[in-house]
Amino acid sequence: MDTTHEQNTLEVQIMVAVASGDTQAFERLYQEYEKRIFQYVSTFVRDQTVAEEIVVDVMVAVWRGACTFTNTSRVSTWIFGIARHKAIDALRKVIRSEQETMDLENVAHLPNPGEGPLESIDRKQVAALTRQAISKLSREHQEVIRLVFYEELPYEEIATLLDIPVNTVKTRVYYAKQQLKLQLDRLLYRESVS
Amino acid sequence: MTEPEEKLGSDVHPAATLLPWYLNGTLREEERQEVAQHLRECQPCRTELDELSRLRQQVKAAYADLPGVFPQVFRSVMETIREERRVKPERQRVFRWERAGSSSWLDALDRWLRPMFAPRWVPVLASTLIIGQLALFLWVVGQEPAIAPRDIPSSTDGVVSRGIPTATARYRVAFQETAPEGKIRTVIHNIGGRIVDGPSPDGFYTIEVSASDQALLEKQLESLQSQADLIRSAERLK
Repeated sequence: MDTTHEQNTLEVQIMVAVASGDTQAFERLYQEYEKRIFQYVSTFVRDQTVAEEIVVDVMVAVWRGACTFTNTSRVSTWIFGIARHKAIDALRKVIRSEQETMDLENVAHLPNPGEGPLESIDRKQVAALTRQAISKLSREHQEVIRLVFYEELPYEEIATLLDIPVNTVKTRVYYAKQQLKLQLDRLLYRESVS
Repeated sequence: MTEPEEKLGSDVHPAATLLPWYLNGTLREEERQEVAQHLRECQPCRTELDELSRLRQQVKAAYADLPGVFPQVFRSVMETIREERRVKPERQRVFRWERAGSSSWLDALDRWLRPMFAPRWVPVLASTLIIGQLALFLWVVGQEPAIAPRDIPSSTDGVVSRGIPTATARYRVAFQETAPEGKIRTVIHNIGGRIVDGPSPDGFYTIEVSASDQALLEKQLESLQSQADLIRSAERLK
């Protein structure tokens, strides 16, 4: 917890500078968050151009609203909160008929490929398979997987960000992990038989 | 909260739901200890932890390998904020959680006053002033004369006398019904008096004046009695 706490303390200091109009501090914050925001909003919108436009909107909003940051949550939670709102707004604008989630309930269960199949595949392949598996999850599951495993946010912060009860965060992450493992097992099985 | 709470199956250990945060190190210390204790006793949760640990590494690698955005995005953002700075260079950006509700002149006042309260002698001076004021108050209270029985209003007085330190005299005066209020005030002002009672049912006022000079009192009474157009009756009370 210390590392993330120190990271947040540093980011709060940067936010103070940004709030006072320091463009260099803002550039630093931008470099830290550009890719993370882009990837996070990409869990909502598939189109890269739209996702990049959202990154612009989010970072300009961060610049304009830095003085409204209340320091009651982490800087990352605050920024992802802005990103989430803008991504959801953008999502409403895209074609609603597009099926975004995969109905995993209707997919037949495949046999377990066995222990340790990933050791036989190189790291880049594992990363690619994992991305593929993540992309097959529902948007809600993709989102919490990213927030807990990549952004490493505490569950209270995720609850605040998603505006859901803390217990729902725990439950959702638990089932998201199960679905991710299921998708990975399926992909590995296909790899092994092809 | 906008969504109903999602529930877990009864077969899931509560500690198992905390394992992702046990791994990313963001649990509170007491929670971390509870999970660690549970892990020592629960083989399924240890297996779950291993699995989560592998998945976490894979997820990190998967996201880390993803490409970022085009450099134009950065340029677009920076152009926007530099343009804003150019248009509004004087914009005062105050951090709300640091200075909620303060304005620039309050800040200036704060900066001017704050150093005065920094030295150690200030609390001593403040304490001395408070003690001094208390002592002065007690001294003044001690000098206050006892309330004289004559100052206590009776049910027939109607008006409480505020008292004049020197000797006083009183006139009983009835004004003409047609006398304008402004002129009545002038009459009272000219003799340095003030109404302390009245009007009675028959229209008489009691006017109190300073009685330091008996000759002056006589003159005042003559003056009052001579203004027949304003005053119907005037006499000195004993």
